[in-house]
Amino acid sequence: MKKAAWLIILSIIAASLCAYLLSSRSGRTVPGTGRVTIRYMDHADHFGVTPEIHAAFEKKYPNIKLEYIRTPQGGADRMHDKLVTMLAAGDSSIDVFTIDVIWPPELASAGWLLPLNEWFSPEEQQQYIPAMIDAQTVNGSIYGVPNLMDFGALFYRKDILEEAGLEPPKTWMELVEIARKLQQPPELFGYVSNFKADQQLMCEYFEFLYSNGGEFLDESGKEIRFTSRESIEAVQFMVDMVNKYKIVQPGNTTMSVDEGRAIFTEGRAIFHRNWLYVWSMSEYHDASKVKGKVGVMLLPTFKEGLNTSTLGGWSYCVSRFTKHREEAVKAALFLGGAEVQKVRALKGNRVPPMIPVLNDPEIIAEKPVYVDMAKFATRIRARPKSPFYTQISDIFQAQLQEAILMRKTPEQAVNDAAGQIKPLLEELEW
Amino acid sequence: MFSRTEALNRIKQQGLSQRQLGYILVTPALLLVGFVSVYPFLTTIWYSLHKIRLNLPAEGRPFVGLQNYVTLFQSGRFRHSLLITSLFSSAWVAVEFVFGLCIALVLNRRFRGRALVRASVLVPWAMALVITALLWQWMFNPVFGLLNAILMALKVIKEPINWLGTTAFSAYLSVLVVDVWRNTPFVALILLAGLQGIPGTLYEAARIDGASRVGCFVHITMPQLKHAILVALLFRSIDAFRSFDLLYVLTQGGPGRSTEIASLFAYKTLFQYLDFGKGSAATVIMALVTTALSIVYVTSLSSKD
Repeated sequence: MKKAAWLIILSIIAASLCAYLLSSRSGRTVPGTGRVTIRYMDHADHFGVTPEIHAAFEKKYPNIKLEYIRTPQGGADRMHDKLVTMLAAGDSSIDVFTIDVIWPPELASAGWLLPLNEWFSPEEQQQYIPAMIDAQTVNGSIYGVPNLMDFGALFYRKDILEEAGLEPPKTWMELVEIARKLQQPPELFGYVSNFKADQQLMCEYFEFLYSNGGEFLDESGKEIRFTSRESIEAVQFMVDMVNKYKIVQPGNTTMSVDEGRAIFTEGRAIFHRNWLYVWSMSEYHDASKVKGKVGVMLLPTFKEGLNTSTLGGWSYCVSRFTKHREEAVKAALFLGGAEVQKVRALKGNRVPPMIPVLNDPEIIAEKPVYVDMAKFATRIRARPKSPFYTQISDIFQAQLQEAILMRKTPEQAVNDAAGQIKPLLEELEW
Repeated sequence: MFSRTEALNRIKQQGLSQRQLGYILVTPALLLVGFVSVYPFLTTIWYSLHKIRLNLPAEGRPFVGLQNYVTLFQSGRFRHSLLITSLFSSAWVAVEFVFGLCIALVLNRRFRGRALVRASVLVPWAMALVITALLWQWMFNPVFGLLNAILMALKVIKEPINWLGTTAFSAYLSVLVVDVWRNTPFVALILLAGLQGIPGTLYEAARIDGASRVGCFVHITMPQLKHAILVALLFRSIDAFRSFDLLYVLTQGGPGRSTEIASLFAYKTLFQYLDFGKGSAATVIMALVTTALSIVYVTSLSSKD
């Protein structure tokens, strides 16, 4: 009897273990049909185009079913941390996910992304905006299919400038002058920026830095260049915008990018640097108070001809841990392909990173502004490629904030950042 | 008593001793605790003794002894984070204790609508902390926020203040306000339970002997309340020391690094820098500190004086 009791307990444990193993093995193939479900993680679908995309995919690949999983709330940093947690554990529950343009070096060198060379040929890659493909290429291998193009642009109030008889600014100093002249805080701020310590701050700094002729790292990515005079001037300008010219909204050191956007679309700012989504938020969103009053233009510069936009954007990658490699690759290529991009461009208000889609007559007729925006694309620069980029930028952001809050001089801040970043870059050579 | 021995006899006849049955019954719970608590903790210690950087897999995972701990204590940033954590937790707990005691004393009196007041005092504590933090973040917002609007309307300040992102001090103060708002009810609740356990006869006897109100408070209430106070402080200190969500939402360690508490530092090291060796070492140090804290409290709880 004693043995019997033990036997029962053991068999219960064994049975539940078997059940668990079985369920995790075969859970996503429908038995007998060979039909596979591919789970992909993607941004919120504000305009409800997912069903159309799924239908088109399942028509093309009847044996594969797509399942959409939303990215976590709270921006790219949260998404990064979620992906890292999942991938570090070798989790195979998500086969395809969209990643920010700055993550490929980090995620690929950790061995979490599947190289797509076999399926994504150089000819196909040539159909995409080159900067987007370049960002997805690490040590000669391609890791992602671009699906959303983004870069910094200057949004401004056409109506206010016209009324004052002023032209949109070509240089940063012109912007400061116009903003100081026309602003009436707190009802109307001159310039809305995001100097909160996240990627946003880095992107805006890079735009000031590059348009002043500076560099962040050298070509090899192993030597620091951000302690140069050009870089210190760029930081000084950010400090002055806040403290000397006082054209930036209060709270710029804590506001997330979308809080800043809300100030602008509420009609409480003249200039706003943000990503392209602000266009659709100003023109099409119900809550916008600035419909038809907004202009979008290339970001100003310090030195002529150096206007620079930081590259943003997202691409579909395939998890190294997927159990359905072929199917997952098909899904990634399809989701980033021309058909889906056209749907997203027309109905989802997203700027496509694919040249044939941008040249599509229907797109040109329906969304002429995309063509204008694509013209800025020659001014795009990617952020430095490094497996340590997240860490480097976290260190740099904290120092930038110290400078903006005038707790350190710009020179001190960049040198302190260099002191912390240098040891990291040295390890790369190892 | 009889039925219990009978039941035990039956088990005996079926071949399991009471001890064996006990083990069997406790096994699932032990397995669960082992799996979700002991195993991860041991793994973390194991990680902390190795160099593990997920973004440099070519390095492998070499054993480095206490190197991670040495590097951490050499880094000003980590020492600052420990200092800030201790400063925050002691300030929070001290203020919450004073307010909590006052609220508990009031709620222990008889007045009309007491049940309603008691229930409503608990509301802040019953809300999810992340939501609380988000609500306050909006109230602190310098453009849309309520707090600045009120202070400007009352002409206390001339222009809006960015409470969370201007100076370290204003950020400390704002975070203190939120934590006190949220956790004082918890302290009050435990102290109230303690107050209700004090027999009324003690006060009666004291009053007959001519003791003043203050005398009653110092010589009866406080000594009788000692256990409740220690329990409240124990829970709050440990909780405060390892708190994460509040600052993750409100400041993310900013401005600069001024509010980067140890848990935020560990989180960034682990999940943003992908340095699992150093990040694990930081969490082990935090675990050691909280263990030490609880030992101090538990010893003073069990002391007889």
